[in-house]
Amino acid sequence: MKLNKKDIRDIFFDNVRKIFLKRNDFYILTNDADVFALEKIKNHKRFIDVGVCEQNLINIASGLARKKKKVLVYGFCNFLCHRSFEQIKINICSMRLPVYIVGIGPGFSFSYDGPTHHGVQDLANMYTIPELQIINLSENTLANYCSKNILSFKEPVYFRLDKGVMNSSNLKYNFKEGFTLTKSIKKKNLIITSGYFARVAEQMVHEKNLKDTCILDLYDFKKFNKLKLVNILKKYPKILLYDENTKSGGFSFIINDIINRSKIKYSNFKSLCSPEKQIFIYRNDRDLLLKDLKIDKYFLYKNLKKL
Amino acid sequence: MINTILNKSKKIKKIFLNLILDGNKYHLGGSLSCLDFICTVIYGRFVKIDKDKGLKNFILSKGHALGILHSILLEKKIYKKKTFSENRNKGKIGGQLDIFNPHDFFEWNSGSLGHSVGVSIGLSLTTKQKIWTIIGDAEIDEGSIWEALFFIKDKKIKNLVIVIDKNNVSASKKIFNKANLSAKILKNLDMNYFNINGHDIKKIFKTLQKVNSIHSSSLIILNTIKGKGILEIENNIKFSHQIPSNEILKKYI
Repeated sequence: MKLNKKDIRDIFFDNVRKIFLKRNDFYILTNDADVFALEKIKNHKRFIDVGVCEQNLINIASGLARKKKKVLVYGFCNFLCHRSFEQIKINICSMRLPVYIVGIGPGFSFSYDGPTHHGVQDLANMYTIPELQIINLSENTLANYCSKNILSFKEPVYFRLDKGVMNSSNLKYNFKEGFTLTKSIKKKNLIITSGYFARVAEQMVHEKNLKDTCILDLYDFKKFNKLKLVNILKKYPKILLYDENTKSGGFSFIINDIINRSKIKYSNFKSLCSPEKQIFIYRNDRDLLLKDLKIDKYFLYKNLKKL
Repeated sequence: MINTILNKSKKIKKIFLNLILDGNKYHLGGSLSCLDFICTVIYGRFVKIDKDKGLKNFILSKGHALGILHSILLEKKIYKKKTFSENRNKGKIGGQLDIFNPHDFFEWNSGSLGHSVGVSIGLSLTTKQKIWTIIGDAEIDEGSIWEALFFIKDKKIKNLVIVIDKNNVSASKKIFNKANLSAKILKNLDMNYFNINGHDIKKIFKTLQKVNSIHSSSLIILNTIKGKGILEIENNIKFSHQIPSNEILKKYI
């Protein structure tokens, strides 16, 4: 199947499975989470389903990694990040062990399960661990690149992996800058976003045929090219920060920090994020929930017009 | 009483399956495994359920089985079907249990596994009434459950009833012979230990009578079948999350 037709999870885990089968030192661990692409290797001795015990899961992973094994851990992002925070901080990151933590179900992708399953604070939580690289994967080519080259990451990484077919029509992803930017003739509005919201923003810009609006998708939250980002920010008079996470739980503070440090002054800087509360609204569809929260593509357009 | 509970159990199953046919996205397998037990606890009047005061002192730790509680509320007309449907359309009814719908009716939000035994200790310290908690057999791997179980033993807490729905299937695999569910280990926790068929309502009722009469905490292993009563999905991992076709469901209504 062509890359642009595949579910992003299948792309990522198909590549991981191939590496797993080639290398005898590669381990995969999970907390009872099911992933279609790994079904065939579930009975392999190096595939360890630790059970519903995230803290133990991370500790076992760190022990393996200390003995030079390559370790990938996956599970629902919320339970992995919040429940085993201390284990990740101390047992993996303080020793800079190259464990790949893959959080599935970021944002409101589990729109029917309430705040226990909403991954809208994991990003900021993981950001506080200095040694941990954070990569938000919500585009098929990017997920393909990262998973194929996963062993090139020599330090701990938190991959935030979305679901569904996630193609970009305008954004070209490389892995040098940590972000990517759409091209437009007029540089008037800039939407800074990440993850699933980059796809939502692209859809909105395409549907409204906005020739003066660019989208910047920030996907590497620690190692992006800061200088280049500052230069881009300076070119746009109007900026809208658009984040599926809460303002305190997402990447708002990263952008605000850059703006403050580089002393850029904006009269037209606004942000549109998930509300600062735990959401007890249940919808079958993620976009319906985003609409309820007034952060879907229509509200994005409205906010952009108000800039 | 036993016959009443049996009939109610059959009725609740039908209401529950109809809710799924109506488009509610409940976890079918894990709900049906604990249906008989929940019906016995509630219709056997071991816990109080009241339109105004709600269902207190009872935590459904496996919050994804909330469809059974919703069905009971509908059967008891505590929740009117019209209101339920309206609330569902407003996005107020979901896949995990919360205390907001009906307002302040249930004791605890659930959906994150492993918390409820500790929480129930907190509740138990404020009352002499029994506090009931239902957890799943995969959930028992969470370390926080064991911290709580040893706390109960150390502090000699006397008013807890911890029920483990042992359906032998987790979200992704079949789980048998788990060391942490062995009688040898669990009996050492100094609680009254019961190991019963979780679909034998007569046996459940008698056990709960005994549990209620003892002035110390109890641990009940319920041997159950995931997806009980729907042959096509019984013990089938595929149906941990998936819902079978409407044709299959209609056969059992």
